[in-house]
Parts: sequence; structure tokens; C-alpha cells
Amino acid sequence: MEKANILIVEDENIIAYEIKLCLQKMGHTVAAIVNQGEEAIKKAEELSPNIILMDIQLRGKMDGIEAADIIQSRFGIPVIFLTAFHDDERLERAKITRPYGYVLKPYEQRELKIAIEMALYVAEMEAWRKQAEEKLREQEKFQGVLEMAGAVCHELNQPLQSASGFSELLLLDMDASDPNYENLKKIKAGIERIGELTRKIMTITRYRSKPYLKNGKIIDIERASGHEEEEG
Amino acid sequence: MEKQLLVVDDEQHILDMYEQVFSRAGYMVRTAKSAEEALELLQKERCWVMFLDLNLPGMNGIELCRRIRKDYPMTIPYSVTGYASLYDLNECREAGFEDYFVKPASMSDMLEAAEHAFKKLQRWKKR
Repeated sequence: MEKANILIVEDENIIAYEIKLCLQKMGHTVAAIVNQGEEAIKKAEELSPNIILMDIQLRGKMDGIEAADIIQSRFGIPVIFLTAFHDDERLERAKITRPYGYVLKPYEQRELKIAIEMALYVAEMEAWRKQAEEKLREQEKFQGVLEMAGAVCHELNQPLQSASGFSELLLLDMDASDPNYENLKKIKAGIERIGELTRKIMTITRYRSKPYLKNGKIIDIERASGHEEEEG
Repeated sequence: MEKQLLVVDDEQHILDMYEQVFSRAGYMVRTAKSAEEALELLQKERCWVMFLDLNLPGMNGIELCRRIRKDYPMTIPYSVTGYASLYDLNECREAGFEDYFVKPASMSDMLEAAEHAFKKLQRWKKR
């Protein structure tokens, strides 16, 4: 079983202590014990525990449901309610916070163990799904950029065609001893270089990036060309 | 055989350039800015060798090539494209293009192609 670092939110010290022992027996660690909703939010942010066991009735103004709602939306940490309440009204409110479990007190050690194990698994799947989604979004974004780059290249190739053709024509008619001859050759070489670049960009079928400035990355045109061999 | 060739491109600058380069090499040059204009011109004049841009307003260069090869099978058309990934070589060959140039194409390559095409036409004529 996976070991987790767990935050206990419980207003009764004796029960909190009992839960702590129970968790430790299962092999988990306890990040902290708090008895107020506000405190729970603070510790959740500070310690980023894997799971929070949340009582509903707490000291202070904020109850466990409200605290769980804030924690879930701000930090996305899985919350399991551990409470004696089982009235419909509270259950409805608790449901909205999308808890990873709901265990009734008095609880059996086995129940708690299963609830934690399930929550950890669901959280892991959720994290994996989010990551995959993020990756897909990034790829789609890059694909869009590449397609736009291709369209821009096409537009660039039009003026390049006349510029390179005319420079070629001028060179044909110019004597090599002409003072402008060398300069014209440089212009033509420049045009050819731009042409090479547009050609490379247009053949990109998958991108490679290279580090840029501090933390950024840019498309590596030299290495991104689709004709290149995949590197092992 | 009269060395007349047709160039089709929707940009005037490019047509001007082709006209000058090919005229200088001794060719008679006809120009058109669209596929429709090219087809109209071909009804009046005979062009044996042609360079067609693929991205044209209205009918594209691929379709134009198909039409030309159907109506004038002895024609030798070359494609010139700025967007290599949009139309690939396979598609161009299937449509009846002799060869494929990517913009910016070297004019010496295009001149060589024209020369080669006319040599081929001469050989066909002797048969």
C-alpha cells in the first residue's frame, strides 16, 4: 500500500490523537493536526499533504465542508470527510466539494484504510489525466503555431521568388569586374538563405525545442525538420 | 518549333521576372494570372512548355494541369509552388506535371528545365 502524508483536521484532541495512531499503524505519516477550518487551509498550503482527513464540525466560524471546498478549489488536495454527521442536508453540501471519501464515525480502522487507499488511487489517476490533458493542450498550441508559420512561409516565398529571380537576372547581365557585382552576390546569398529557412520551416512535421533565455523554450528549426533522422 | 512558353502566377512581380529571364534566354513568353486566363489564352495560342503556380485564385494549378494535359497531351508542364506541404510531388505527378519546383526556385534550374523540355519536344517531333 502506498504511504501518504496526511493532515488531520479534528476539533477533539483525543479523537485526533487516536486517528494519528491509527494512521501511523497503517504506515502513513501525519503532517499536522489542526482543529479549525482556517488553520486547515493554511496548513494545506504550507505542507501540501497527500490527503486531508476532515471533520465537519470544527472550532471557529468555518466548518469542515467550507474548508474542504476552499482547499479543493485552491490546492486540489484530496479530502476525505471523517464525521459523525450523516444528515441529508450536510451530505448534500459535502457532495458539492467533490470529496474523495466520506467515512462515518465511529469508524473502523479497516474502513479508513480502504477510504485512504481509494482516495490515493483516484488522486493519482486524476493527476495523470490532468498531466495528459495539459500535454495535449500544449501540443495543440504548438501545432497551431507551426501551421501559422507554414502559412507565413508561403507568403514569404512569393516575394522571395521575384527577388531571387531578379537578382539572378542582374548577375547574368553584370560583368564580374563591376563594383556592384560582389554586393549583388551577397544580396542573392541572403535571399537564398531566407529561402532555405522557409523551406525548413515548411517541412516541420514534428517540433523540437531548444532552451531560450532563462526558462523559455523555442522551436529549434535546425533540428525540427521532419526529414531528419530520429535521434536515439 | 516556336519556343513559346507559358507562365502562370497570381503575382505580377513574379510574372515580370519570368518574362525577363526567359526572354533573355530566347524564349517567347506568355503570361497569365489565373487558371481561367491561362485556359482562355491556350485556345488562341499554342504553348508547349509551361510553369504553373499551384496556389491560384479560382481553379488551382493541379486542376489546371489536369485540364491542359487532357486537352493538349504533348504539353510539358512544370509546377512551381510556395507551399511545398500543401501539394506533394505525388499529387503533381499524378496531375501530369513533369517536375516540381519549390519557391524560391533558382532561375537557372528553371531555364535548364525549359531547355530540357524543348529538346524532348524536338525529339518527339522527329518521330
